[in-house]
Amino acid sequence: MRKTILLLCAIVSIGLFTACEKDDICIAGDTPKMRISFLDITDQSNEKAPERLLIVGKDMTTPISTLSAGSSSITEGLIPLAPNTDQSEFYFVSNASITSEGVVSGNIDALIITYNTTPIFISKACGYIVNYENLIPLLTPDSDNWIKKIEVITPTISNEEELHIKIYH
Amino acid sequence: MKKSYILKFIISLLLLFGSHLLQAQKKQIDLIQKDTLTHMEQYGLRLGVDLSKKIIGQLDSDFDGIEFVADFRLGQFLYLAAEVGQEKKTITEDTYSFTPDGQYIKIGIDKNSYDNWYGMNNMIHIGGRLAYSKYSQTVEQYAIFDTDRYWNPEGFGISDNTLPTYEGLSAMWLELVFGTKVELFANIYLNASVRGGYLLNHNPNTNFPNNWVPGFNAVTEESKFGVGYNYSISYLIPLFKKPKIYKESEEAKMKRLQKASEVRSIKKQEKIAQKEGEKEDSKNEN
Repeated sequence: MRKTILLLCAIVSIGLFTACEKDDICIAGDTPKMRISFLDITDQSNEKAPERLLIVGKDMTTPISTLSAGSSSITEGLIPLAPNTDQSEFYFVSNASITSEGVVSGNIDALIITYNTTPIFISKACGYIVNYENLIPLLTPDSDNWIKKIEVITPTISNEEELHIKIYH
Repeated sequence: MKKSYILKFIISLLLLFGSHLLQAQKKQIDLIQKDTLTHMEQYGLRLGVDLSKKIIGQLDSDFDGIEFVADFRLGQFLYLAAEVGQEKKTITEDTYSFTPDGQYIKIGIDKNSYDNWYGMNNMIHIGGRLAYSKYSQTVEQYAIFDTDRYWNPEGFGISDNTLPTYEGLSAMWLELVFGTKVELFANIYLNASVRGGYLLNHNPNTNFPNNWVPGFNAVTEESKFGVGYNYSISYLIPLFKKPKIYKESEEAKMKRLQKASEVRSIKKQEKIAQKEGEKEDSKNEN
């Protein structure tokens, strides 16, 4: 009788101590996005918004959501890079128009941005974010590039306040 | 003449008995005699293996571990106890999975608080341990936390890169143990214990926290406490026997002390009497 009581005590206490759960909310950090600004190629200190700008990622079906698609007043904005690979390819479209079938037309310039990623552990709930390093933008030349020049201001993306790339057009 | 001889005889006889009576008063009759029968208790080395870790390892492919337990009886209630183990566990969080892998040793004492009946040899014990673990951590796979889901609308993108294994990590902690050991058959014991751990120190990793330490289990952020348990079967190697020391009841203790003080006072009186007698003797000699 005494033995069974002892055993029962042991089993119950084991159950009590193994039933705890963690909490899982990530508020500690986020992967930073790339900040770009558009400038006038003729007057390089002057900001200039492209006409009806639309930026879409390669193989993606929707334009990036951080900038309002088709707006003519964007001089500065944030662009999300693909955090789990080493490059992101974008189509920068000026004078963009979308047909009812979803086909984008306009002056399309392809921009490939290559970088290295540095994983940084934030917290148990968040896991890893990345910072980007060695930013290299590469404009694919075509017969009619509306982007004339690209300048890297800060090659490391560790926050969203700094300006990383200037695009002249 | 004859009468006087008879009288002398009677008087001397009375004196003889009287002196005997005096003697008898000094020596009291012991009403609470001690039990002279001693119960021998088994002392020895108890060796065992943890059952729960092996069973969990069989059921859960993410866990692999083994633990050996040992204790040696030092005294009536005190045991020297130790655990040695090896654990490897793959833990999957929302955005990453990692595998701590390492060995640990725990050394301490257990105090039995259970008063066994004759022939029984069970334990309900509390104890303490000092524990040390040496281990490594490998991040198996990780996705990048990014609130902008443009590139990975279905979830977080799993990184193409791999991270190095963090080698040579160590942790030290204190453990409070509460458990039981029950003799199932002769010398075969089933043991269960729950443990509360208090982390003394652990290597801060450069880019990955110590979320799980072998032997300590889960490490909670911004807390030094942890919990664990073990459930083992062990065999007692009998080495020698020692008599059981019985606990005295309050009443018995009082009686014993009273008796002791009486004996002391009687001895004191005897000494005084002896001294006085010696003095008188020396006076007479002078």
